[in-house]
Amino acid sequence: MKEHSMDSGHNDLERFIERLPLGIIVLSADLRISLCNDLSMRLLDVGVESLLSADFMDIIKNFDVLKESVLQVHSGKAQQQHVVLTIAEKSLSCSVLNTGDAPGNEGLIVLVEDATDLNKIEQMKREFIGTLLHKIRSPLATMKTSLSMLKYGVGQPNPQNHLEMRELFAMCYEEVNRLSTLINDMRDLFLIETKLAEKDLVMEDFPVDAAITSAITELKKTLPPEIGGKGIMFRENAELKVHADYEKTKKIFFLLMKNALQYSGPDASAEVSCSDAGDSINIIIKDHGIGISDSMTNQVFSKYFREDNFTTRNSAGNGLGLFIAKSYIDLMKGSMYFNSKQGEGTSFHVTLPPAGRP
Amino acid sequence: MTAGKVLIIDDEKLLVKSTCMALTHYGYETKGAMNGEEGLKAVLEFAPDVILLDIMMPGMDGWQVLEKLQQNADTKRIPVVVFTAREYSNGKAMAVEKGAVDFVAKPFEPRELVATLEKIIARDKE
Repeated sequence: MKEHSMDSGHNDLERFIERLPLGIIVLSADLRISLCNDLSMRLLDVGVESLLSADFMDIIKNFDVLKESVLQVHSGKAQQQHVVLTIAEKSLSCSVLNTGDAPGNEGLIVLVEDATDLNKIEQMKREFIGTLLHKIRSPLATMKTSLSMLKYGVGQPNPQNHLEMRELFAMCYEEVNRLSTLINDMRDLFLIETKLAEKDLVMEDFPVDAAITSAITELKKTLPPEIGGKGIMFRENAELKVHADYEKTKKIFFLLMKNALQYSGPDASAEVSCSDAGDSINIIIKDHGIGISDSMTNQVFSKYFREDNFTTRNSAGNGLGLFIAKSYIDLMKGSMYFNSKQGEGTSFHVTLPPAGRP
Repeated sequence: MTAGKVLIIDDEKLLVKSTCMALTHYGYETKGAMNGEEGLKAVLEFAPDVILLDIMMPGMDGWQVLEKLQQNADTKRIPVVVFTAREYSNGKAMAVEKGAVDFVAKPFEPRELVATLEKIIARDKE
């Protein structure tokens, strides 16, 4: 607690303001500090020696917006002011209020609050909503156009119309699937960014090939026939058990194998192999596709990455998959990296902790 | 006699397909292009009455395509409607300032798109 003109009656008040999670500075009518707590000085990054001058305008001489607010309230032009300062990567929310004392003797109260986390959350929220708005508009547009055709456009049923109707329904179905994937990915992204994802994991021991074969079965059901002609080559090895979240692991293998086939053209094939490296189980997913261009290698695991050089352009990708996969692998104490050569193919390497690790 | 020729430049495969189907139904002759480069080639071959141009595309984006169209004497008179999923607070003003004639936000009602196209083509013929 720092004080300048304090009488004994202030003791309770002192203790009270020192315990507040808020920086408080009380200024006299001549803008000198009459009372403040330690937190206020820490937040403003002001050393105690600066308090000796006690002239608040001098202490905040580098913060023009705050100075301006203090002058506005002090001159009576405003009852209160609110500004946000950025000091050493911190966002400080500052309020300047009139104490309401008799005219001519009016002091000011300055409240300082660390709003860094709030600002980050606010920024994340804006980015999240912006992305969601943008990404749902295109599938919605396809669905609206198709459904409008079905409602108003396609006339009396005839063989030609029948085919057209089937095509319109098929497009709507594909876009609904894309929206479902997007919503699930946005949920994962939200959990990862708010640090809640780890609590969402169900860690258990299971044979790694169970997750891989299950992902292959699902892939066969969902991939359009023009993709993945030759399929996935996988030699099962029931001995290898990992300690991870089964559903998340399966989803990650599904994504990696789907990418492997999608970026590899009509005769695509991919190989999956597993091995025991002692302190980890290693899984490699190798394709013979277009590879990842050198300029893109640093961005592969970043949010919203999507290699645009599709041989078979599929609209389902939303660019979140690899970011989510890498985040979950890290949370499961594994690792993920890739080797790629343009024109020759890409190998994704996943390592997971072996079974028996708590 | 068609209602007009419309070129759609958009990287969303299904949206191009459904929009082409809808416009064909309303009597338009349509062609789709999946990116800017393909679109610029198609403009010369197809000679559309109107271009529907998406903005966020891989490679050349819609604004760059619009600039290229305006630099070419053969294409600069073709009306362009900007057609986008991106959030703009002043979409139409921005599109017009850059040389487009109108702005359509996705998702859109095909019948309203047709009304917009009819107006543009009629005005162009005057």
